Amino acid sequence: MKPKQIQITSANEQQLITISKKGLLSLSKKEMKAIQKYYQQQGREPTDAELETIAQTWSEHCIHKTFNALIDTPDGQIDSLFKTYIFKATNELDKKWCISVFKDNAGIVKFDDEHAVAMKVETHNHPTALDPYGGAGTGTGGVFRDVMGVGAKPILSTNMLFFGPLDIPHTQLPPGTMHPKRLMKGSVAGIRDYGNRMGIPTANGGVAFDQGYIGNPLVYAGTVGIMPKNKYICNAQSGDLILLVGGKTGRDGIHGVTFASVELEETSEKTSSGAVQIGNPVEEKKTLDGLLRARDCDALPLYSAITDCGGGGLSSAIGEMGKELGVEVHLDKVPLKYAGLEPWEIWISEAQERMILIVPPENKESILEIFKNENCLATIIGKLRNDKKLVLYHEQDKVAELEMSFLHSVPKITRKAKWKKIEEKEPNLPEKITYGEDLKKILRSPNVASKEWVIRQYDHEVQAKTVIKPLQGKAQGPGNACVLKPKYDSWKGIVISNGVNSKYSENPYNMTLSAIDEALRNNVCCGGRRIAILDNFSWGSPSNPETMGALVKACEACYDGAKGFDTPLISGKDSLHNEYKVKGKTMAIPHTMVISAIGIIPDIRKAITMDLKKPGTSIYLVGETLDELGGSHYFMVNELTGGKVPGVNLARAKKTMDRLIEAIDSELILSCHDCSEGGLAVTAAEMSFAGGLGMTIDLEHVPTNLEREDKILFSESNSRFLVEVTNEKKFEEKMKELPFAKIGKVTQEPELKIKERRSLDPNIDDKKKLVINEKIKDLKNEWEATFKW
Amino acid sequence: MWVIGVTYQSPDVDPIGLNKKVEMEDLGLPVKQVNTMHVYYIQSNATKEQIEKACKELLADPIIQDYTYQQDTNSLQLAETSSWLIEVKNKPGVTDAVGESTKKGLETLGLEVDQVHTAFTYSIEGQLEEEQIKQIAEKILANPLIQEYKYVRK
Repeated sequence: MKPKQIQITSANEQQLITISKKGLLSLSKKEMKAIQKYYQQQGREPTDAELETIAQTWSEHCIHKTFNALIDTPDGQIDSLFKTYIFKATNELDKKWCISVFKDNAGIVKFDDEHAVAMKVETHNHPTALDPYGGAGTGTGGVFRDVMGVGAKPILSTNMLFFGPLDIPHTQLPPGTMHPKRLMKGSVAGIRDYGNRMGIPTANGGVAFDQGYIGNPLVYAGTVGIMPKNKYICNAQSGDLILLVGGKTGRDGIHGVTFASVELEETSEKTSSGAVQIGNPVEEKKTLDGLLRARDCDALPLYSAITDCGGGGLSSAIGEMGKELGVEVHLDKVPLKYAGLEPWEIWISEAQERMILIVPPENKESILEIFKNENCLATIIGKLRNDKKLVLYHEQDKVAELEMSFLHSVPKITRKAKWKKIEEKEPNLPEKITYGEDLKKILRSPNVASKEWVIRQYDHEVQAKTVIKPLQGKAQGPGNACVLKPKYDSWKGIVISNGVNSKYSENPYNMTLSAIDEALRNNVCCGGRRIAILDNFSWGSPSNPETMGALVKACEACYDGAKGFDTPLISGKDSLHNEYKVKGKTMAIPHTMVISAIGIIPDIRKAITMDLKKPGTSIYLVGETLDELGGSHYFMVNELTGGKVPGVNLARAKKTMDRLIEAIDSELILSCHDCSEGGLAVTAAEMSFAGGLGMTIDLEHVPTNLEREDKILFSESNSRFLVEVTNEKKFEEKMKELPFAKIGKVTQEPELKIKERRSLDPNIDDKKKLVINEKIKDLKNEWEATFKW
Repeated sequence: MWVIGVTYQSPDVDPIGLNKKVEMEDLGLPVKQVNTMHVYYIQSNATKEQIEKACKELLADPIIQDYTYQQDTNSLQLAETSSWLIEVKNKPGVTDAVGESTKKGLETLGLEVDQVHTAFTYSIEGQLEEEQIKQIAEKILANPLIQEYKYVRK
């Protein structure tokens, strides 16, 4: 099989574009021209393997073109979103407990003196659109490998899923798309089978729905891992061997990375079969077992560096590993599922369950022995050089020879950003006498409704580390975050939470701050502190200036939020081009910003759940309720748009969370739940039915300038907590200078009673009418009805 | 070549069948019952005793499942009561992870095996037209990107 040459040195612009399109390379005109220039200087034509390698390395997936781009905004030029916002915040915060940020496959922070925790969140949107079971499953398997790729053992799987509305009739679906219900069932099954079969608990996550995801569902998969601090190693030397471990290589997932930068079209479902990956969790489990033995069998790991094969396959993994030294690979050595693969296909295949270890020659025999014992394939396929060149062989033929300096010198692109005017016009909505029906509607709405159908399919107990679980309280309500106790001989725990609300996407800056605030307050509710966050973007096409502008605003909010909350960003992921073309019209997803937070709790015995515990105790609301109903569920169930998207008062939010942690540590709190979708009313309902108890609230005491009861009940203002307090005096002392008030108490009687703000006769409190008066059982039934599948 | 089929003893303990039935009803189709069967195509010269052992110890759960097997055939004639039978399997070249694991499991039991392919059959009861069966196959049971299906009417 002689390498094929591709004629580009004499091609004109149009031909260059055609070459890129036909080969599914996703390279732009500017990039093709840079490649052309390189080969003109070399005086030869590129081979197919070389061109593929460049396309993979320069793809959005691998080098984050947009985040490194020059961006022209109405307020001047920005040189790289990474440098200007994301990395900058982390650099400025300069936390000693951050061990590796934005460098490896996963972010790594200190856990205790011996151990570190690693976390990574990935997106797997396009593959899931085509094959939900395989796409979501391999997304999960892929992010496990990201964490394994720093030498950590996965101890938690988390995921965030976004689909179109479940009740859309089949006839209204754009051609070539699957029904949201099929996508959801398939994705959940894929995540379930991968996590459960590998023995990794899936104990945290979320599902949300919006019209905008019909043509383009989103799947975020995240993993937390733990490792001994001294086993983190990255010390490859020239002469070290390249060891490929795990699954065999087939034609699966070819062009997955470059495909991710293409808009989905009606025909995508039929033409991009190569882009689908098939998962095999059992294979990955064996790889993990071998890897952990190779890591722990001696004082130092048997490998000198490690990474996983994800997007771009061997080309990305090995290209990155050999960046500083140079590398040669003999592609014919790679074990194949079946014969007949072209060398370039072997090189870029995204076949799953494969990892790359760099092994010093003296450890070769012992590491091969380990993987042999685990019944896991391990093959030496090449070695590191010292001439900074990437050289590929297939049998006797040299199929590629590229200089690393060229391969990693991606032409900088320029993007244009425009600010979209933010509409905050208040809709017209008459006041009502009672709001029980609105509350029920919100509880039924799929974003808020119980996800027990999903949760119960996942094994969240395996490994026996899960302390605080997805459903909490004797009557089971939705938890804030997940708490893990990773070590048997220590009470110290890890707290993992998420924040996202794409209904706020009209105002991307506030949306991002809200997501950060939500992730942090969920974490704080359980007792998490010293929190690090991960930024995960899913956006439409950045070549649209308004979409790009929204991305800039979101990054700005990441910087402000990280600085304001004193919480470093440690890892991230961007999936752009989430668009879908139907009948020539492009539909983009709502900007979706998922913030994942990982905190520490010194003693898991002090962790707090959200269910009400004790009749008679007082309920406090901490935080101010503002006129912020833009993107709220209250507006949504009343079919209204407009309004102000919630913002964050950073200084006050930070102080609130710090004080709350002090109160948790001083054991002043019995239960705590944050106010998010659906506002105060939903929070109160959830706490009540989780504990099987009731609650009375008087709206008069709520810290707010608002007069309208519906706004107080359903505003989604950030940084608010509903807290069941045991020691009122001490709690009030802790909270002083912050907006807070005692607004009600826990009752034995299982009913939620909320009194109006003003009564006609201020002296007769009893005469106050109830704006909400519902049986807890009824509220719970509403909450559970939607997903009784 | 051996073909093994594993079915559920009663539709009440066939979770996939129950789920798929609900999804077919969601499409507005008059489905009475769906029974599923895991099918294993095993390329091996194993003896009948070995295959019996493989069924008992590896492939079927004796509490809720039944099994049947035939030699030198390409399809199983089962589910006599159903009006339609749809078989779904991966397209050639698409990794069959279950097949690979089954092969390893059989080898651990001491069988010599060349290859294992797996498929899933759904026997569907109900007054359904051929068009509706195609709709079920494409919208619910098979992903045409990676899987192929065929169907027969009883």
